[in-house]
Amino acid sequence: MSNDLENALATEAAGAGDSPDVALSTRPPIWNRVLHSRVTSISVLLILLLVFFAITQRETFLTFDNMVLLLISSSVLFLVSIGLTFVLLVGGFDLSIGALMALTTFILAWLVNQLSVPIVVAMALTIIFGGLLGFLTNGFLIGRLKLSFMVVTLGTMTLFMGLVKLISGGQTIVIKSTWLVDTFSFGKVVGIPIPVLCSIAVFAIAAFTLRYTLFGRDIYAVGGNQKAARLSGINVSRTVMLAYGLAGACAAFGGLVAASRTGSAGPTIGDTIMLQAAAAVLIGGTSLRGGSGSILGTAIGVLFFGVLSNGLTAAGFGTQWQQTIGGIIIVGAALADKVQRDGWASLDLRIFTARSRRT
Amino acid sequence: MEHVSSSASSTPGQPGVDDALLVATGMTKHYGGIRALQGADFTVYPGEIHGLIGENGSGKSTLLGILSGQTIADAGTVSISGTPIHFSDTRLLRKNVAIVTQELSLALDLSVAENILMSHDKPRKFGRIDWAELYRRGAVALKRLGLDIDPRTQVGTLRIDQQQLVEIAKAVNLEHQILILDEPTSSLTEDAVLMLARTMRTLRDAGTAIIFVSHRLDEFFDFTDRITVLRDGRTISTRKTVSYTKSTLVEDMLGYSVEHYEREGVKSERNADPLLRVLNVNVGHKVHDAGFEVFPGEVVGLVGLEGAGRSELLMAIFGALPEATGTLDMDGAKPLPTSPLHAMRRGIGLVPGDRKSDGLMLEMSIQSNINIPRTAGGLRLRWLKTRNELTVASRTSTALLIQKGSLAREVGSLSGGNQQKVLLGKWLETNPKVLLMDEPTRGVDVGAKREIHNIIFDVRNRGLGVVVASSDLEELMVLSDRFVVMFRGQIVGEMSHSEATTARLSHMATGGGT
Repeated sequence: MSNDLENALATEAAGAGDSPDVALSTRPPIWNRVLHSRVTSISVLLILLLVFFAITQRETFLTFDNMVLLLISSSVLFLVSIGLTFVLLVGGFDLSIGALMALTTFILAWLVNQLSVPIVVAMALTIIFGGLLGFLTNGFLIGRLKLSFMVVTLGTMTLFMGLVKLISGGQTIVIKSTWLVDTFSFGKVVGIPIPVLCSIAVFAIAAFTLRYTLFGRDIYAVGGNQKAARLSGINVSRTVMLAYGLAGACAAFGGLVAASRTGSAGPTIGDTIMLQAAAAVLIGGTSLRGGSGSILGTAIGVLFFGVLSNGLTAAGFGTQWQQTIGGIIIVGAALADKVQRDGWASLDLRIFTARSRRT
Repeated sequence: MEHVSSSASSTPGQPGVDDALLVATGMTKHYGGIRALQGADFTVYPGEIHGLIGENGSGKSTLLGILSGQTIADAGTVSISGTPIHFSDTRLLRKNVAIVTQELSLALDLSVAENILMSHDKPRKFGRIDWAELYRRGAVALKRLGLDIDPRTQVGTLRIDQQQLVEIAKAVNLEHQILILDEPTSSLTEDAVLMLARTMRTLRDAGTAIIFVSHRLDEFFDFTDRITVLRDGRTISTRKTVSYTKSTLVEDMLGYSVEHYEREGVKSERNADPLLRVLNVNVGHKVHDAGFEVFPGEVVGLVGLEGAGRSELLMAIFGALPEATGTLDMDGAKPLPTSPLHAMRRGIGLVPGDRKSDGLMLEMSIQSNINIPRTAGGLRLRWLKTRNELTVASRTSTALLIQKGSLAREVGSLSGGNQQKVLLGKWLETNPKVLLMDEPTRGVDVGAKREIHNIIFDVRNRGLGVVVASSDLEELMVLSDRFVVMFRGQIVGEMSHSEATTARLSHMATGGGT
């Protein structure tokens, strides 16, 4: 049969236009998406947790002072997590943020103590330094040279930790600035501590950038499909470098806030922050594969862990309990994710007998 | 070997339902609110090649998924050789049904033989793997398909068409009673397709039931004994192949009759200067000294076998291969663009061949996908002009007949044809002078294919230069005003539409000279 006829046959399909397309005719309604979004489920969980603690600790939990305390103790994690969100969105990971954070506190101490740089300028320089460090080490090696992010950030983490020990000799160094502690850390504007205001500002800027600028869309595009992004004209390596730069800058900001609490730079200041931040970002719905997630999700993830730790502390459970429960929740979230995506039937609960063939 | 349709099963001397190898009735499957299958019936006899045809979204893949034990149906019954099978017991299905899909399931770092014998116990000698025996068995399996591949080769180093053949060899080697081939030919060369057809016939004559799916209608008529047509998750007809004609088959598939179509006249302005001249392009060992011209208002068909260097040449022109060297003359000769962005600024667009891996951000909205290339480049801290982007996206989706529901929909949830149109649309919105397209209708159903062809004609009539690379000669015959033929990385000839026949082009593309 001639080739033309085959096309003739096909022409009509074009003309009719409304050829049946099962997937198209029944689009899932909006509420379905909202219901199935991770941000929604974690928000619900957060609210349940708030209600639970509000009921069990009626006098102490839902007070203004306690809420402010909760926010202040979450602010370091919040800042670091915002930066990490950018990196996860482009499909990477940054193991070095904790070490980088510790390193930047010593930069701050050095700028203030040794060079007598005015404290506000020194703080700005510290954040810039953190950003540049992330941009030029992790960013350059991963974004430009296309090295593996796990290996690179493992390397830079070790490197930064080594540098911290070289600089500090294992000692904390007092930062000679009363302003840092008295005004920055403990000062309040309309009753809200300055570090909290700072993290809210960073949150707002990050969320708006991701949602409403071309750069934000580049981040999602690169994380969603790096190859397609490059073939669409997006400067992929620059976008990736900037994501690691932002992670560095946010970690440095978090370092500032952490240092301002005690007024000193410390070698162990970022020891556990990276894993906590990863937990908060992931539980907030940002995917390890890149391309999906949001700053809002991260914010809720951070608050979730903040509330959990605050409530448990008030109820007399120590960090050992907080960690145990936190761990269960993270694994539970991964499980819930799987069930939400593929249904209960997808779970193969056998442990020792392997399936005969891939399903 | 012909079998009658199930409705005539009582005729003496013909196989009836009792002889059937696999009977599926009332197959139903929902995905959320989407009804993929609504009571489809399907019967396969031993010793037949059974074609399964239907547009994208007709429920074909869902049905095949259920039959091969990968998907669990909501309702319906399946029996094999008269034994009913419970859905949750997918093991029995997997024991009897082998499936080859386009998504290859090969371990790229292992050898060909190891892949082929993946589901078998490895031959052993003194408690250790007997590698010589393993490779011998692999070689036997390859020989059945007439393949000239060393079983020791690492699969990752093979071309994609060879990998597809290894995948088929692997499934054939399982020696199950039922073999499903889901679009096995889409990445194969003509010779390989003929070889596959021969293998299919041998297997059939030995009693295997083969279920065959393809996007090429001709293959149904050439290969199959019976055909089942699916539409909207229901079985529309099951008849002997000889009792179908192309028009009745397509009518069953689409649900309405079709009329004749003539190819539009060629309107190439050959007296004009070329829009684009490509000179001396080299890409490693893939492309040697390639050069051709594109005039305004023409479609150039880039002919070549899989692996001839077509895609690499297009990628090089688009600035996507840093190792490529050469010259582009577009209002002045300059070296190749250094990045896709650079190429875009010079007025070149590229629709890549693999829309899922190279073309689209599947998790992003239609609107974002269409606007991304248009807004690439320049200061990145600019605001997204949401209203403007909405206008652009709705204009494009209307012009290209994208059936979308909403522009906020994830591209990944669209059908293949609509995804391809989004991919085309995003490049048309950059206002290119030359549009390069690699396999523009790969994995697209017959209706959408025609629509995409119309878009290509429309683009050409607006005076753009279009280059279409494809391994589907028949498609190129429809689309192209002129042909450029590649063989082993070199341009081996040119032909106008009036000189060209599929036979001549295919002769040239296989290195046979002019």
